[in-house]
Amino acid sequence: MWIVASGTAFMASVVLHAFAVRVFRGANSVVSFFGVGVVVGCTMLAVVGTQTGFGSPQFMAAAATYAFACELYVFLFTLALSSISANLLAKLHAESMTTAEVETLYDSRLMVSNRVERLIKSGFMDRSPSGVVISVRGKRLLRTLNRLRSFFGHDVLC
Amino acid sequence: MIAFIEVGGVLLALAIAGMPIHFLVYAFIGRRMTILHNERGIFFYHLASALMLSSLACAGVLAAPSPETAAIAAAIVAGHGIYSLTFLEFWSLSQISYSREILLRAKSGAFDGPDIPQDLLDIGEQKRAGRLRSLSAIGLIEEHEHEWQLTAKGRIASAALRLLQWLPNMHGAG
Repeated sequence: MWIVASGTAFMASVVLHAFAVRVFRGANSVVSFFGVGVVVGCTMLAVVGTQTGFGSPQFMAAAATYAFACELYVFLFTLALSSISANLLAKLHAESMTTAEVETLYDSRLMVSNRVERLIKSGFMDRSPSGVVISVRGKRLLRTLNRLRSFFGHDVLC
Repeated sequence: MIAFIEVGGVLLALAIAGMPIHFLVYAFIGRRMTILHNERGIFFYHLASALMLSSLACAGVLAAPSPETAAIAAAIVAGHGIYSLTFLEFWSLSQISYSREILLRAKSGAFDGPDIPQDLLDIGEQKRAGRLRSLSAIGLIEEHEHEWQLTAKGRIASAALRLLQWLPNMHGAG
């Protein structure tokens, strides 16, 4: 029963999120999925908990499988957005392309501009009269990433 | 019967302990090992752990079959999935993040103008270079009369990716 509840809740989250991002245009997809996911997940866990007991193995299994499915979904849709290979595959669905067309489509300047726009939209960078500058939130993100680099043993550059 | 339940309990307990042990081994030993400094190495470190832990969980269920042990085993496997996915995302984000490079340049003031720094353009170039070759090598695309097109396998992958972009209403590149 718990596996059906967990699977149904996950699918409901995906569908509700698809509606939500179309109704509330401009909303951050990851944040909005988190919002929808928490509401649907809590509802599902309340139902499972009432039937099997809060803290029962079934309750824990429903919570863990639902959370894993949600995290995997967020990982996959952000990958589909940001990965160049993933975007290229999606674009080739519509038409075949020459190497030169691919190079034009994924022009380095355009890719940097797109990424900068996304960072501005997410509040990690700000526009100023002198150009694009890092925001307070961006500095915090950079510090976190540098701590992670240090932990994982990657080179710390700043 | 009691012995079977005990064996099942021990196996499940080992499986539960597996994740913190895996993390601690990485924190104290693994992160200093060169082999775990590349994508393949760190991926296999997690894959091996996931397979071992899933086997232990399955053995626990077989030793003491019941809906409860099956649920605990499922929770353990899903828990490992959450742990590994989170770990690998952070690992990858801190190692090769393009956004991080941009923020780093902006912090040092190199972005205070209309020109995009050459080293950022170089990173973009590196990201693009070889994509066609690598997609072709794994059989997702093929070159036909100087044009790149999807293979049958590539069409399935492409359809899945388009669905993943369509559902959350996201469209982007790079």
